[in-house]
Amino acid sequence: MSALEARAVSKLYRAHDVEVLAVDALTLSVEAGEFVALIGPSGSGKTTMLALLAGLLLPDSGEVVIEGRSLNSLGKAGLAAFRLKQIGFTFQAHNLVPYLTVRENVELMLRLNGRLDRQGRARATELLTQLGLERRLNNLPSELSGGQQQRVAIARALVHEPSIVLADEPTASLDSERAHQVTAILAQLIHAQGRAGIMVTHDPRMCIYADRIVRLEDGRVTRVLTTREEIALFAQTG
Amino acid sequence: MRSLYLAVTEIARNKLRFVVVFLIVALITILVLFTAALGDGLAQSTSEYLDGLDASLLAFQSDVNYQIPASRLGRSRLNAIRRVPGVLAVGPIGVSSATIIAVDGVACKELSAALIGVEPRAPGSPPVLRGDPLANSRAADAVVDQHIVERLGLPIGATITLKVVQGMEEQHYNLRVVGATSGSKINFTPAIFVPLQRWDRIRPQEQVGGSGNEIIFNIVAVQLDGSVPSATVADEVMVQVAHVEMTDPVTAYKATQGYQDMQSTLSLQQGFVLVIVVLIIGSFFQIQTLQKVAQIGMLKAIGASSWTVVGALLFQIMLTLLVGLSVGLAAVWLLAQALPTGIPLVFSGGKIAVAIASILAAGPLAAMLAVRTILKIEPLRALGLSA
Repeated sequence: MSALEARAVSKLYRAHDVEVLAVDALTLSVEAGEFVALIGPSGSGKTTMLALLAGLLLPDSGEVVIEGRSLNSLGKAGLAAFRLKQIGFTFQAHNLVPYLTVRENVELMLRLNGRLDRQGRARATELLTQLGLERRLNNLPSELSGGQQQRVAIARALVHEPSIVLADEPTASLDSERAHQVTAILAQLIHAQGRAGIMVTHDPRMCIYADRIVRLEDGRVTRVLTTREEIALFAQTG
Repeated sequence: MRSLYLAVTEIARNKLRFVVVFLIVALITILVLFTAALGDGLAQSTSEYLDGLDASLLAFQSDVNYQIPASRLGRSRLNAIRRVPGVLAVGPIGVSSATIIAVDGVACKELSAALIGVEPRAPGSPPVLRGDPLANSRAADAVVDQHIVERLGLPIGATITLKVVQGMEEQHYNLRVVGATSGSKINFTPAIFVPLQRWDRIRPQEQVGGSGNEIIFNIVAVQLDGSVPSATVADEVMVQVAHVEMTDPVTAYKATQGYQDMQSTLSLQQGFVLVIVVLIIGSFFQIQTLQKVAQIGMLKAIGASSWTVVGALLFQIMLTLLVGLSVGLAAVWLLAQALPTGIPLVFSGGKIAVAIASILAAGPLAAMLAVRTILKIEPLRALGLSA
């Protein structure tokens, strides 16, 4: 059983009299320990797909199944509780709570889950150390660089041991060097911890760290790259 | 606890921003408490004497709407009231005004006072804190309110000179202070008590030296023996004694000219201040919520429930109010110690409790708009999408 499955999911946006089919009968599955890059041009449906996978949106048709459970059957509160336990999230911006320190931001996920105990604290510190932030534990987000903030977000996304990690353009605001650093760490931790990871990115160079590349256009999968050679070539040439 | 943690941590890390709001709440607390104290103080200054009377009922001339200066009663009616079953004792009370101009023959700063004529040892006669009570045999004696004693530094035994206008002439009368009493202000002025006959000679009137006929006073204080209900006695008096209207002291002082207007003005002022609390606190937290839309969207996206975020807001509002209230209460206490006597401020526990409860109740009201905003923020915002 896959950790995450999208089964022919579709999402239609309606604004005034205009209808846009953002995701069109898309099917995708991700195994535990697999890191998938979702790429595509603007408006291709990447972010909408991520929202569907996270249960932030419900599909008009099809279903998303995580760990054998269909998100369609959960209400709003149930989806929030499900996200809290099963999903780790990093966003393009506004990732961190500005008045919490690095350590507190990571521990917040444990606190919200009711799992802030000695073990949880130790795991938070260990993750932050692995991410090279051991000297920044008591700093506020405003005292960190963009790359450091993204690394804190990665720690927060993993600290509660979710089955799925979703990353929305995690390198969008970073320079090339820091973007590579952040994506490499994210991929490494997803592999090491056996999570199912999906990263939405518009930067082909970051796909080098993925196990599979899924290219979307107009809400449909237009290309899937799975071999190291294909991935490496795509990362170089885009 | 998650909400409390978020609330307290945000306050602790944004001290300056919250200190400003704490101070605003503290200032509003001071304003609310001082307004309440002023209301009580003014009420007390109006009614202190009547409120503390050793009488259950007061007799007024009928159709004067319980206005003391307009009421005219004489001995015949007083005696008729005394004979009504259930009445234990009656005492005449005459109220006028005078100005103290000298102490022991030495001119002092002029001080207005209520000149109250009573029958010694009868209802209406003041209890003394120090010195001797009034006696019919010592007509030139006076018992004065403690405020006058403090303002003029009067020793017991001192002689005060009163200035009163009678006819077209200004008359001066000497009185020996034999005792001091407290709680006897009437219409904002502290009282000088004298035997009724002396009062009748001193009070302002058309001719110098008193009416010469039957003494006319203003009201009668009526003590009951408890054998008949108060309302029954009042009804019986009004049946048996012509042109007399009975009431209790509370109704009487509430009927004092301007009393209700003054109290309702102060209540209105307090109401406005509470509305201002709601608006200030509501605006502050609404602006803060709008500034945190992206952050709240992110928190919801990672799985925090709306109620965790709303709980944090409510805790912050209540903490803000509690801290502001505490600072305000401390400031009020300090100010109350430093204020000179004579300012009509009375801090009563009940009014303070009501003011505190009102300010705390303003919190949830103030939160309503921000709560609505929080509930409407979609977690999709974290991904830059909208529902």
